[in-house]
Amino acid sequence: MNAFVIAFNRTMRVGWRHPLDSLNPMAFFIIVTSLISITVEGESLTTGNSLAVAVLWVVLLLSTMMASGSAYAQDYEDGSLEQMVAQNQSLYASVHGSVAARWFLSAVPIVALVPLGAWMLDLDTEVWWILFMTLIPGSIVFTLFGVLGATLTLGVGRNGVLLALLVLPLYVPVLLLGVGACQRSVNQEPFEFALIGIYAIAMAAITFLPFAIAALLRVSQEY
Amino acid sequence: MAQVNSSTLLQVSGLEIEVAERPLLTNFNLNVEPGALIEIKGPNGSGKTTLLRHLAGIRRAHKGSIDFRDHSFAYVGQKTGLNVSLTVYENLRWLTRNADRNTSELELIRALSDLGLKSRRDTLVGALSAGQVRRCGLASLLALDANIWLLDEPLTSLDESAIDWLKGAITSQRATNGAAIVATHATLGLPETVTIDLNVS
Repeated sequence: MNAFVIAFNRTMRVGWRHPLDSLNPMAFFIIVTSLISITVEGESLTTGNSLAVAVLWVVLLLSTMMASGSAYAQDYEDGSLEQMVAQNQSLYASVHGSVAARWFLSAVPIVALVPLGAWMLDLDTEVWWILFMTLIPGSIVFTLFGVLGATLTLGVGRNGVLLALLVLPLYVPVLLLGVGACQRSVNQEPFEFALIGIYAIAMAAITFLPFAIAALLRVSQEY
Repeated sequence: MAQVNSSTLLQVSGLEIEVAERPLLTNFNLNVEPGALIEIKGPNGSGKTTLLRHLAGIRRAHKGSIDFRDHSFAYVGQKTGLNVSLTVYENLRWLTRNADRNTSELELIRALSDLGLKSRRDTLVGALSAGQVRRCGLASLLALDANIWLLDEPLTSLDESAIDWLKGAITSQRATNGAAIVATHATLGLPETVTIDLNVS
């Protein structure tokens, strides 16, 4: 069986045993969007939809960052990572499998909640499709960068703030492109450039970041 | 340097290991032949674990080569490599797949029952006692069926019967042309053991 499938199955199985790890970011998403929908006055939400789009993106960013911060921490602690480095020839494929499973466990449930959030924030239904088109690649990039940050801080206890400092600058360009594409679509301006940009970033991240993550996993065992 | 036979399982030559800029080993050579049992000895902090981790390829040496000559190895470290959220069976299956081995379900269960863990097959590793976790780690030795065993302090947390089992397992591993390299400060007391003392070198 190849390394991708093995890592995917394992991460899914462990995630399944800890449903709260997926449910907490979902709850966070619902709480933030509902609080904003009741505190911000209706008119400022509907004018241009830009606030609603920005809120949905930022909440997705934060919940993905929270969820991926613990990537590989357990494997580092219990010695599974040792076994992977010692025996596994293809850490690249294994990282791919593990990140894909993390994306399913933490990002997909939140993207699935977006219609609920969009409804609470009175977002025009015409914007929904562009929101989805950008949130899907966006959440993939967020997950990959989040796992990269988590592997960088392996062995550093309580890595929360450090992790945020490391990955937030990487998140910002994707956030701006995503929100930009949605807002341009709302204003009926051309948005193709931003859309292509975000997909290009996602493709590059999927191809190259697992190399970096795999290298960091090896380095983490040197100390 | 010892001569190299075609049957040599592992050949280490000119290995140089540094820990925190301090040389731990210089020009370390080792040939492991079938049937060998090598005990790495030395006081705490002398680098037993570090040497073993280099042999397992977990750490990279500055100089020298470690050549397994296409032989497989199983490494059981002080961390067992078992995930607490997975069952005993799931962990064991993952360890074998991770090492690219297609061990059948029957063989996995045989390995577990050999260590008295058959009834714990579907128990989460997090619910096991320390000794049982160690036993589970040792069961992976049988499941992996590797040519060379690399064991780091295998006697930790083991009761009498598990220690007897381990001695028997190492003996039969040697009898079937395998070899074992054990880092330990308490000797296993098996015949024809080669001792590497890291304090003297």
